[in-house]
Amino acid sequence: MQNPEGHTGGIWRQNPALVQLLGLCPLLAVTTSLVNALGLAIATLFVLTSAAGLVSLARSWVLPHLRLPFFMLTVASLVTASDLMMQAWAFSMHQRIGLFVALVVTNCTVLARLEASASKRKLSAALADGFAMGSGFGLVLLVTGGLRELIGRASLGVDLHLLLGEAARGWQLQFADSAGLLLAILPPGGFLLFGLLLAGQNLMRGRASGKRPGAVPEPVRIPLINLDQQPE
Amino acid sequence: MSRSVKKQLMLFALAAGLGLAAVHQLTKEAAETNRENWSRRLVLEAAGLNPEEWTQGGDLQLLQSGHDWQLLRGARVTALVLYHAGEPGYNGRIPLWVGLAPDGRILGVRVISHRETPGLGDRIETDVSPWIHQFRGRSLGNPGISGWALKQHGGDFDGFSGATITPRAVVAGIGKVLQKHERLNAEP
Repeated sequence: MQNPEGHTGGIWRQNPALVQLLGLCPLLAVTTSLVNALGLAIATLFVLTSAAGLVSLARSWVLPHLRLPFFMLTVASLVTASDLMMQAWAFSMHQRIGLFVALVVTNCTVLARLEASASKRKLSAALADGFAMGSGFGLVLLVTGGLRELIGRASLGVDLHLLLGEAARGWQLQFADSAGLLLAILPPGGFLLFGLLLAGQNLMRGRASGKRPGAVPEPVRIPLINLDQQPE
Repeated sequence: MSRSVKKQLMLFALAAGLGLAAVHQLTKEAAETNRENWSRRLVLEAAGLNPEEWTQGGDLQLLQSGHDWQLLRGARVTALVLYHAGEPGYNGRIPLWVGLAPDGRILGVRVISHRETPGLGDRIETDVSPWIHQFRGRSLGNPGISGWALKQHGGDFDGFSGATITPRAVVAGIGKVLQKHERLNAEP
């Protein structure tokens, strides 16, 4: 599939979360605070980019009907590797979002990009696409996580030092002694807020392309994995 | 399956295995140290001590047996830190470490891990709320076993608003640890 905006469409026009609606399970589960969102964003970005690179390098060599097992093995290995690295170098973070890092392996964004992009492009293009898609997903994570923390707990960036080191301890903001609107942190609040983000992004994309607000944007073709493809 | 398919699948598996083994080698020591430091920190806190004051090779020794710990000064046991796999909370069991003085008084309690709702059930964490400090100094008999429940269930302990299941699981877990400890002590 040719990407109309080169390799960076993943950040906005084809944002995996807001446009392709992929990977919403980890997104909604983890974004209860900015620091959790940042943790998953980094893990997803790392796995998506490096998997895209590996798959692209091996693309002419992997037998066509073995590509799905190859994608899965690549992603699973990279996820396991990042899990091990977190245990060694970001331990307290691992205790909080370790479960979700393991779930990056089920994030359909990753598999979709490997199939639609990385397995058909040369290394630089595959890396750029993986990085853009990972960043796009990460940005949505950060915005959702930040808003949910802000509304739900009236704070921003609590516990950032777990991820970024002691220097980040002073970066957190706490607003008044308000307890916040708890709904935002609970799952229904996550869905509501994500729905609003989705609508907002839709509106902005519609405006940018010169259509009246609220117009249904042209459908984005989500590449499907063709399971019917038979080995020759 | 053709030969080339088998060969390629084997190569995939081999490459993935070797890669992961390398990462494991690289990270295993740091991860192990992290886990040890983290357990020791919680155990010391459960025993009512300041983890910052503990030094390797100092006069306070920590002995681990299974999930339970003994704290020794010289040959004298100053505290037991007993593990409880946890009573069911709102979202899975809530495992605990309960620190006991030789006379059976509670020195401290720490939740080892939990998946309770942030903002509601997480007040069992010391970082979030001082709630769990209320058990310090209590023992079986202060109150008696029927008192090891939340006030709203006729017991002796404060819960917190908005969540019942979470604090109930912690109180029940502590009660069970105390009973088990008493049974073991009663045996000849």
